[in-house]
Amino acid sequence: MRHLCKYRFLQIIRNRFTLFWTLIFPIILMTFFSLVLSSAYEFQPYETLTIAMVDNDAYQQNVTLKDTLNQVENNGIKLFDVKETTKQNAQEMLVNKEVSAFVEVDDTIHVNINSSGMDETIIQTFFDTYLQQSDFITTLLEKGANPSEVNALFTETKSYIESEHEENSDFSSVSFYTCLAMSAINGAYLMLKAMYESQANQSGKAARVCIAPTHKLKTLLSNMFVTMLTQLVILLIQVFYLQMVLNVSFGDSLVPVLVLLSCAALAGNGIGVVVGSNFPKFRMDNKVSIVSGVSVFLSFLSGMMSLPIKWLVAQYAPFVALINPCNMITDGLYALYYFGIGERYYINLISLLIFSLLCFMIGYFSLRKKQYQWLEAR
Amino acid sequence: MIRLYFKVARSNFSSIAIYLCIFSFIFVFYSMSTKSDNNTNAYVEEKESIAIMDYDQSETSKELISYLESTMDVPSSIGDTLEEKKDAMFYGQISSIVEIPEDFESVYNQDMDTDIKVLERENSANGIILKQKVSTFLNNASMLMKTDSSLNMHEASLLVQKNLSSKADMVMQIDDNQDKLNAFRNSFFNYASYILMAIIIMVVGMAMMNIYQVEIMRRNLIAPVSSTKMNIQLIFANIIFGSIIWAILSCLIIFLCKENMFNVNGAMYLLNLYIFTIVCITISFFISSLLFNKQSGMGALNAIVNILSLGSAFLCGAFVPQAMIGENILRFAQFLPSYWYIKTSDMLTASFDETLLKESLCNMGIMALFGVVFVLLALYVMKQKRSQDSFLSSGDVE
Repeated sequence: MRHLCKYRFLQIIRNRFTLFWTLIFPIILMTFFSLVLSSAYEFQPYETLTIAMVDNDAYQQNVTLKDTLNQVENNGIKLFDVKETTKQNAQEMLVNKEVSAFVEVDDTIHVNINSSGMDETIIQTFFDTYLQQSDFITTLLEKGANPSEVNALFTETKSYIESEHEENSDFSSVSFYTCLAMSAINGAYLMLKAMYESQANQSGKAARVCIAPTHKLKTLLSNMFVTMLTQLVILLIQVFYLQMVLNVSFGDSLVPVLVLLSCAALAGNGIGVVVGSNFPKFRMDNKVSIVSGVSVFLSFLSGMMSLPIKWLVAQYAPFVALINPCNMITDGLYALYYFGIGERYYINLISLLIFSLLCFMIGYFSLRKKQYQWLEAR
Repeated sequence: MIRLYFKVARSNFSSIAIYLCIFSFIFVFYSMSTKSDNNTNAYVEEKESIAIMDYDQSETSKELISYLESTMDVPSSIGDTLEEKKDAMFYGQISSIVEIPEDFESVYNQDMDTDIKVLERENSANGIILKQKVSTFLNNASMLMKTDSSLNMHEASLLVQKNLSSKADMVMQIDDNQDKLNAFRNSFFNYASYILMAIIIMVVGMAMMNIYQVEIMRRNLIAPVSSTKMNIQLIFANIIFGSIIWAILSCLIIFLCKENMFNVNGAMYLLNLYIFTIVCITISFFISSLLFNKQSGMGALNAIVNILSLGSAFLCGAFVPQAMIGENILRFAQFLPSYWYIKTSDMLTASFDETLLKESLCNMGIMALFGVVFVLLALYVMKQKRSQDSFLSSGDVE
């Protein structure tokens, strides 16, 4: 057993191809993520919107609107920077994107815009509210309210709301988790190679191994143990790189991260066992293509190329999310980061264990009691 | 040579099919997740999506919720628990979560400050509209009940909501719907750069690696065909193969964006994609010449494909728009053909004129130059490798 483990380990570390896929490639990908996503997913703090007001009599006479436009604020930042100008100028400013909208007041308020977006909605909400409040004041005065109290409605300071910003809500962190998940699934390459070298109908080396008086389960277990341990070390190096070099947070404690990654390494090897022990007519290259394609596809479904896809899959195809090991790893890490240790983390952990167990069972039943009448020389 | 090329490609059919199926599925799934069904030219209010947790369950809280539901988007599909709602907020499906505390009604009726919690993402500016609406509703209802003490909360709420029909007149100055359709088409073509690069380099590389096996090359070299002619035929076979992939992808995009493809910009997009296809073929040609006669060539090819396709897609703006990527990264990305492809693609969202034509053709020219450089490099590398003794003596094939 000790010898089996030792030589499997030596084979792994001498194989540049598998080491590249499991160790180097994810690190390169993480670096790409860090270069691009850090600025792309950064939330821009609120900035004052510039609007142009058409300088006509109706606007000049509406003192309440002028005052409100100049006073209204959000968290101490002025909501609008108002440019008073002629209609023609205002139109030009809108075309040249110098202002988000130009507004003309007559018997009602006309807001001219160039697109539908959040800025336009904020502007619309402000002017809608202004008009609704004006109507509301008429209703109040009809009911006999005191005009001085009514005026205070526009500058009401009573606080109804307490704003709270979520901590640990860095969107880009999940992208790094998908990378780590892909790396764990790429552990399948290690196991694929081990399977290739332990089935007599796959390679000459395997034919020699198979006639040795060693139980197949023993070979499988030693392969599994070494590849899993190697994969775990690789994942730890990547976690270290993410945390120390790229400053990616994993929540409060690293211990549950390590537990999850151990299960992830097991699941990655499980995929290698399934692909390696089946498809006997496929060449090693074809099997590598299968693992490579499956790993990219599973990573895509867990949000690697576009994060909202992870959420969409969980919402509209929960079964797919439930059986996708990449999603289990990503979601487990995300749950730890965003919610801390809890039910969701454990569900992902157990799902990974069940997935791995199924894979190893498939592998074991495909390999047991296999006999060959003749073998092609390879 | 062309017949040999397609024979070799057929022998790798299973791997090619796996790649084509997986990437086509990714492409179609991506399209489904980004498909916009907004076909109107009028201004559409971008209603902020929020979620509400009502711990008070009082008449006042229910009236507030009814008001928010009529003025904002409160999706019911995101789940009932706080965790599910926080999950939706993290992935940007809602912008804020309103938590109405247990003692809300009693505090509100005593005319004191209430502490409705609005949970937002870090540095988010999305809560402005929500806060404005909550404050307006509670202020107005309170003022109404103070003015007319016979009114209860429900009646006050109805009176407040009565004024919701007063709205500013929103006027769209340009055809916003065309902009949306253009952006939608653009996202497809940008994403196609990743899919196309991955498929072409992998599949063409796979075929070339098989042709470049020592035994096959030995047989080819004794044939009465010059090396240059052989290489030209190989390039031609690759172009035929690439054209087939380009046609499949183009048909898929035309089908998905049919309302906006039959115009000059649509044709320019297809031309841009075709030139990019040719550049990808030349890259693949160069890579396979480097991996010629190498052990684990297929493994290396797999690695290069993934790094090159994913790396180019991330750095050049296929997944994240170029406008959101840092300047230094873009400066580096200029050394990759994908940058020029995506830059042209982004430019083509504007309406067609002479300047756009000139700039697009200029970018396509730069892309084509990349292609020429890769072909020259590949021919140089092949020439070097063919002159090595090791080629004729070794059987160095896995």
